[in-house]
Amino acid sequence: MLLKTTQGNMSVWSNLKSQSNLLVSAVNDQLGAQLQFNSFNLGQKNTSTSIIGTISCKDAVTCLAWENFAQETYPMGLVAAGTSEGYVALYDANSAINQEEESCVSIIDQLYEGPVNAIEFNEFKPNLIALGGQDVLIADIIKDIQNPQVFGPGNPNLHEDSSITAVSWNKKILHILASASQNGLTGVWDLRNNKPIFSFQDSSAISNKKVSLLWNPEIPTQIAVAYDDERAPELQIWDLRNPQGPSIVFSQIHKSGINSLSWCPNDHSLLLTGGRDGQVVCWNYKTQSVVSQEQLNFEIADLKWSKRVTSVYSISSVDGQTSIRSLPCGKEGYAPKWLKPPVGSVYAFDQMAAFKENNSAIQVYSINQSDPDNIFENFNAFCSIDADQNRIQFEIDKQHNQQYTQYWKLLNSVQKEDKKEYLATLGFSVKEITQQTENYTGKRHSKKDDQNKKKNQAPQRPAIDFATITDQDADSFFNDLTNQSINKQQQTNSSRNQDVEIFQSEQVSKNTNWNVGVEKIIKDNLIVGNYEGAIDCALKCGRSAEALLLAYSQSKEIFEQTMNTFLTTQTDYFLKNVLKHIVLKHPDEIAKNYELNTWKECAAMVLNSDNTGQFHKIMEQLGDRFIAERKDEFNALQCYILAMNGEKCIKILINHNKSLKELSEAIKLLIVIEAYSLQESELFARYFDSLILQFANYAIQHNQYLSAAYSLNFSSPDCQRALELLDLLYRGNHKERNIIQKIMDKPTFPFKYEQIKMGIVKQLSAQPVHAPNQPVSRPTRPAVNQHQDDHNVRQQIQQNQNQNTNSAAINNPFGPNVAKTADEQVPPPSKRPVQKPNPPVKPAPPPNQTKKQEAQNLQGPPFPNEPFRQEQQQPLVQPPPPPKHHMAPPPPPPQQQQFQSNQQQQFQPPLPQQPFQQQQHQPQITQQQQWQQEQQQQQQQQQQNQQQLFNQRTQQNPVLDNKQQIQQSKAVPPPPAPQRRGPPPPPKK
Amino acid sequence: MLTESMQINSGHQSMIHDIKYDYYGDKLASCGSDGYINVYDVSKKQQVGQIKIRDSPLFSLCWSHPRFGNVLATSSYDGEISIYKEQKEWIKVASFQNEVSVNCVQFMPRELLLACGTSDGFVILLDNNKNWDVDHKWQAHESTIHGLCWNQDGSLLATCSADKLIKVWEFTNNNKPQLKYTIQSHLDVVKDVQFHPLENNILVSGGDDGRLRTHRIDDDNIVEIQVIDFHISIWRIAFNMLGNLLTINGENNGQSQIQTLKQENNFQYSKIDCD
Repeated sequence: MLLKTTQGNMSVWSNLKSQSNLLVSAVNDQLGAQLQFNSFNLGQKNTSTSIIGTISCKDAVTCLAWENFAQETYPMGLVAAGTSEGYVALYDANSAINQEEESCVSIIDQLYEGPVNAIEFNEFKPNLIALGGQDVLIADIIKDIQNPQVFGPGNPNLHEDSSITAVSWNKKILHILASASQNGLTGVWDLRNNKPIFSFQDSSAISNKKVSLLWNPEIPTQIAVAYDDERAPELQIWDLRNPQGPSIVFSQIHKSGINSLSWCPNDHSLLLTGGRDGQVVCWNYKTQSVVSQEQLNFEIADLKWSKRVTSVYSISSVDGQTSIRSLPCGKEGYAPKWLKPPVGSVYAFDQMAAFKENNSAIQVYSINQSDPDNIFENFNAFCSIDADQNRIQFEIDKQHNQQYTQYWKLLNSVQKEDKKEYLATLGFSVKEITQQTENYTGKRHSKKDDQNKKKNQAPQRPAIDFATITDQDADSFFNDLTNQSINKQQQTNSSRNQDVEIFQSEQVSKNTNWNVGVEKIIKDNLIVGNYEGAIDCALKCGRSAEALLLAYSQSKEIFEQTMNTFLTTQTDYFLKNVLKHIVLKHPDEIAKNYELNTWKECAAMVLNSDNTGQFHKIMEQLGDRFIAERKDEFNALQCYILAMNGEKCIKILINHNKSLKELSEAIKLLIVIEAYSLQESELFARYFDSLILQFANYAIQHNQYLSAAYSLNFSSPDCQRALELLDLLYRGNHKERNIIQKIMDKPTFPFKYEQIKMGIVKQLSAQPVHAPNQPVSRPTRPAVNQHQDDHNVRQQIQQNQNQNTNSAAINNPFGPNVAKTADEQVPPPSKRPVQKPNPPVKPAPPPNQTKKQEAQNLQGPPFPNEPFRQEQQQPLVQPPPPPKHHMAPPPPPPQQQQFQSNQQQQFQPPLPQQPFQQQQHQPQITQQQQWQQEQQQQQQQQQQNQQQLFNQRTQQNPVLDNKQQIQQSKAVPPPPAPQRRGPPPPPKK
Repeated sequence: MLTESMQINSGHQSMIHDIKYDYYGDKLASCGSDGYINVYDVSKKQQVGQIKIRDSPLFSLCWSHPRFGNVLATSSYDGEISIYKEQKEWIKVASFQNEVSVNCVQFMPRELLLACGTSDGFVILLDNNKNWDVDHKWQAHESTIHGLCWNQDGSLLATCSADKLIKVWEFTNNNKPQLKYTIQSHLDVVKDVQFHPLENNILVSGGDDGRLRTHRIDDDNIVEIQVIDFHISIWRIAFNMLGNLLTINGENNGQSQIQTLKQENNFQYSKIDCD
């Protein structure tokens, strides 16, 4: 194929890696000759080259060579031109291209009386230039380029009485040179020993014409010879090991003498010959066949493969036109080496297949599993446990890291929901403390468990239980407190409110004589019945116990007032911030100010004093304080675990992904945390999915496909990537496929099915295809076709109404087109279903079964078989669609109107998750299509499920009594059972 | 890490030029100079399909995403691009005849949009949605395209060529491929480009200069993040499923060589020993 044209009746290619698209052509005319440096760009459509440099020669150029030489001095190498006057000129290609005045480096003259017919640089030692004229000469330019050493190849001269037409250096052995002369004789010279070592003469080809000659670049004993002989225009390949005759003879193609020969540098099987008949023939000497044959309309003078541009060669005509062409694709079907990948490999899961040249076997390698620190083994063991409490116990037993052990212990107490368990986990032993107290007081304080529970359940306890403290005790107790407060006061110098100053201004009276001092005032007040005055005095002089006793004897109001005054005026930290709130039943106040270092005391006290259901909220506040004040995530996380706040937990754990170990621990924790978390949270789902994907990727990278599948099972049904991976792991061919298929249910195929269309192949046009007006947008393309695209889906759905096996998948809203935009345009997310059985309620089912149930919840009903392996063009007679589940796609809209609203739907911001807000929405969106409502119904159903879960929990666990109330206040009466095709449910109030 | 497990008799009469696993790794398809595609069931260890495509060598083949069933595309030295699907037999769905050799084909991930690279430097996009008509055809390179690769989200197509360049084409709003970047760090023919299977902007390339180069494609420029010199002519690069392993296939003086690397931090790859 013609690429470019230029002038010249011979040419030579650059051997520069960086400048491979460079060709020097020699343009001879009456005035002498010009060497032109042609540069070209094959990507441009014009067929001309650009001349980027020229060299003028005063005599006609008869042969050309270009080789890299002394890179520092001649960065673009040397161009050697043999002339009709028997000398050789060496030019610096770089200065020629830069249009410098003198690019000629050296003239090697007085070589021959006649023209120089052949010239070639030695590739190994480019300082050696072989020349052919009247005889063979070698010029060595290594010492002095201007006065090179010139010598013959040895004696005797094989080519006596005949001039040389070709010289060729052996391509493997540097000191071997071949030459050919007009008489048809080919000689081989050993320059180390300076003598001819071989010669042959083809008897049939004796003429006075050009013989071309080249060494085989691959096999150093083989030499190709072509004869410019009309009677026998042959290409012969001789092997020196078999001197009797040519090993291979190509004939019958060229009609006239072969004028030039080029051995392909990029595929050594290929030889190119050009003839006086205008034919260019590419031969494959290995298969002994013609690869391509091209008839040109001019006599060919010279032809050369490009050294570095594959499949490209230059052809010069006798009348001075040079063209650059590329090898046409041949009939024989031999593809040149540079196009044929000889090696390759490909991966799938834990195997790799590879092929190698000249080997028809494909080698399959298997890739080992790896399990650093047994992380995956542990993870699998953890996941294979069926119930959460057992998982917790497993971790408590196995865990080596104290930090995580602490989390698991907290989860354990959350799971058991037993106060003692909580306290123990927080580091307090009820028994021990009671024992200490009894030792000190000599009284029995321990209560029976049932008594304890009863008290907790009693909604209204008396504010203070005086029964357990005697006056004396109280007195000394308060005295102690007062003393402490005074000490503290002395230390701190804080300014005070005037109202309360009176109570701190005086020392505690030690007076036992009630007839003097403050005591007398108190007594007098009592005498006159001014109890309030007496109380104030008593308080002021530090007789707190007396003050409180007096107040108690008066009225509830006075007592509370006195107690308030007493508590608020205390400066003792513990009294002011802890005891006060315990007494006043404000557990949330404790958390606001409690010393964070001893937050566990706080947690324990709140746990004990709480009767307003605020334990979780208070723990959350504590956790927030850890984050805000200390950035202490370890303690914050403990608080959040106690708070059973999944969202806050995951906000911390989302960063636990620095190592595989950390990640696996986080996932395990979150699996359990999710089960006990009190709130449904979209953020939790999103974060958890992201962690799960990270972990699954790690697992797959370690060829731990079971671990990956286990973890992906906990992802939310909205996570398309997780669904895809799960599908891949379930169906993919790897070592753990059998295990995964045994323990998990078959996941829904997570892609939208599509039928391939028939192209222009006639015998198949009768096949059923989709209507032609069904453009389907590609994921990267803009959503301009979205409308029609959806329409397509809908059509398909309608078509496949009764197609049980396929409809779910086709309906699948997570098809790739959706996936692309899933982040931006989330349809109202279906809530994460409450999937885990509440462990204490149900007896634990066998592990496999549970796993299956979970998988089913997560993935929806399995396909009866693998639809994507079915023939898709079989007639579609199928049972009705599967029952709705949480992943259920939109039902087929009966009307166009619904279809439009679905469009709107796609671009709406996500609907709020709270049921309240949704209900407020509902009256305004009565026009909305069915499936959105369905989704709401699903959410409500989930709400219901959640409700049930809470009920189950709370019934069992008195500590959590209050949650139920909270939840109930939020809860929504369950909607009527959703009907797929019924009218939309009436708006709720 | 890698151990030889089994050999599959390819059944090809001459050189193999490409092999590909299907999506689930159950089937391995191969094509070669004899013009056949052979399909093996890897678990059953037997050939389950054979398709005579051309008399000309087949250079490349590609499975579609399974949501379209079992579909194979292949391209040949004599310029035919053909698409087959498996029903009871493998049947030809469509074909396109190019003037010159088509060296590489790849479906856009999850789609039936086939990108093909030709010997004269053109990229041809064939589109199922246009009944396999040419979606676009443009001169991407000056000379032979040896490899091309879509990134995972189908937003970018990388092509590499004998003109030593890698080009990254972006598919923007008007569906028209636009040249986003040209990478000219290779010193010789670039034989293969591969996007990282997880990262849409990590691209590796290799070629006759023996260098494996890793590039990060940012919004406003391209950063070369690693170069390894293997001193062989690199022909093919393959990532494993999630890109933590990478194998290069090359040859040096007629000797095939295979080298596997593993991913370290920041997409740096390091050689590992394997049998």
